[in-house]
Amino acid sequence: MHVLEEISVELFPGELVAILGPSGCGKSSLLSIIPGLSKPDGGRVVVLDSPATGSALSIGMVFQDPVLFAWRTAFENVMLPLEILVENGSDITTEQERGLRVNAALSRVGLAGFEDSLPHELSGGMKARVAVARALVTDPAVIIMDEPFASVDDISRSALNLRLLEIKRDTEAAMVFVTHSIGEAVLLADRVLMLSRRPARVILDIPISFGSIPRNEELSETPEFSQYVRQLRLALKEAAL
Amino acid sequence: MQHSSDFAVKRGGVSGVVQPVLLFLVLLGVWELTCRVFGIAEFVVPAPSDIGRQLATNGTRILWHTGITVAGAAAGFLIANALSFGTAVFFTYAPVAERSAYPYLVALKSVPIVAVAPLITLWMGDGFGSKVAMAALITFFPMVVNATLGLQSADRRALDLMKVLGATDRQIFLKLRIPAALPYIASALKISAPLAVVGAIVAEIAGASSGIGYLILVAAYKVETPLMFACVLAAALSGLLFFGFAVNVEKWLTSHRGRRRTTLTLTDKQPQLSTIRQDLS
Repeated sequence: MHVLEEISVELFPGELVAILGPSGCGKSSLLSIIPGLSKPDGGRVVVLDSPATGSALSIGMVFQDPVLFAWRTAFENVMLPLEILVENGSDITTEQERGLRVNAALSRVGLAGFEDSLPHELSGGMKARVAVARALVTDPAVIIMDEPFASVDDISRSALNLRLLEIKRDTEAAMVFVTHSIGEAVLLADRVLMLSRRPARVILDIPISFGSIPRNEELSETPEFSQYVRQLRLALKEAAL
Repeated sequence: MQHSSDFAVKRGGVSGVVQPVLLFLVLLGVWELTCRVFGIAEFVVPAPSDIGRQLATNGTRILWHTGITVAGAAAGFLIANALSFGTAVFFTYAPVAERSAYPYLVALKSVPIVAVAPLITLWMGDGFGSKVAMAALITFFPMVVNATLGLQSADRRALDLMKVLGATDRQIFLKLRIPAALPYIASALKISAPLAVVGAIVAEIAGASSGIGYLILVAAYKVETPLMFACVLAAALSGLLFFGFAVNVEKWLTSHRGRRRTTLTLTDKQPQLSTIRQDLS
């Protein structure tokens, strides 16, 4: 059975696209196809005009769980993608500069000072931040986030979302963000895609724009925000039918 | 790192060492006194002083036989670990082989291998070979079962991550599978190291011309009970030696976990990455 049906999505640099859809609609399948973890029956993924190879340079991935290596410090976990690239022959800079990039990625997610911490010494939210830093460190063209903060409590989650908006402001990467939360999608995304039930199609593709209203904690109290949420909730209801 | 090694003196301090030693001396005294007061015959239960005398007069002989046993156990232990680790790696990349053979390995792990000692002696004679074979046989199964579990303990999503990062099979093995397997391997080492000594001694008791097991048999035939006690003591110390070795290997294997401290120092406009601390504790 087809899980996905004719999904064609174009991403632009610096854009954050949120994907919403009923549970089990095939979001995860889509996300595993983009980095090349599973092969589509047809079609292809193109990153920066060349077919995606699943190489760390073009795609960064943040999974539902942080998936940190327990025996590596935060610094070493974030270093992992660079380590693999270098060993496989990409000459991205010197060891010194790699260290700087790791530290820069860690401070972008607000974890400066936690370089030497082992995963078991970090809270759930901090682990999620390390996972985001690990995706950022290679400066990928696309960052895929599969409900990255799903296992984090609400308070940390809203802090993480605000942090993500900051990161988004100074990155060129296109971000794909899968979530179950309509509010989260509206807060973060420049565009929201709604998928139907299996076989999944894109049934809605709307731009989210707040004009001059800054995206922050107060955004959810604006009528514009509520308007988007209402629209998406109705669409999601239809999609689930 | 908070290592909770089995050897660690939990309470710490001097009393952690002094108290067990005191208890040992007290027990030794009670033993000595009991033997003397009740006039227990030396060939039934020798007093500590009798055993001490035995160690003094027969020391070199006991040491020589212990050395042979320890060498046989060590050789078997090393061979078995190399073979079992190789098997575990093979299983990881040949799941069909693993699915077919693993249930038998788990079953064999719980078979009392000592029962086959006479067979080994029959095949390999009473020389060094049968000690090595028995020690290898007894240590092979715990290690192969644990190492296989360990190499496959890597989370599926961690494997996905490595693929997304473009890691080669070799990198996945070295950076993910091996580190994930280390705790499993370490605990198997601690189980199997003292067992190697057991294996070698069992082989000797089944038939040998040297080794601590042989000496125990000889002493038993001649009813030289103090010599038997001295031999048991030597065997016990050999087992401890192996266990201590395994504990140290475990420490070494896990010492890379979170020990490397890499810290960044920024000086004006010249950023420098320097490894500041190599924690040695």
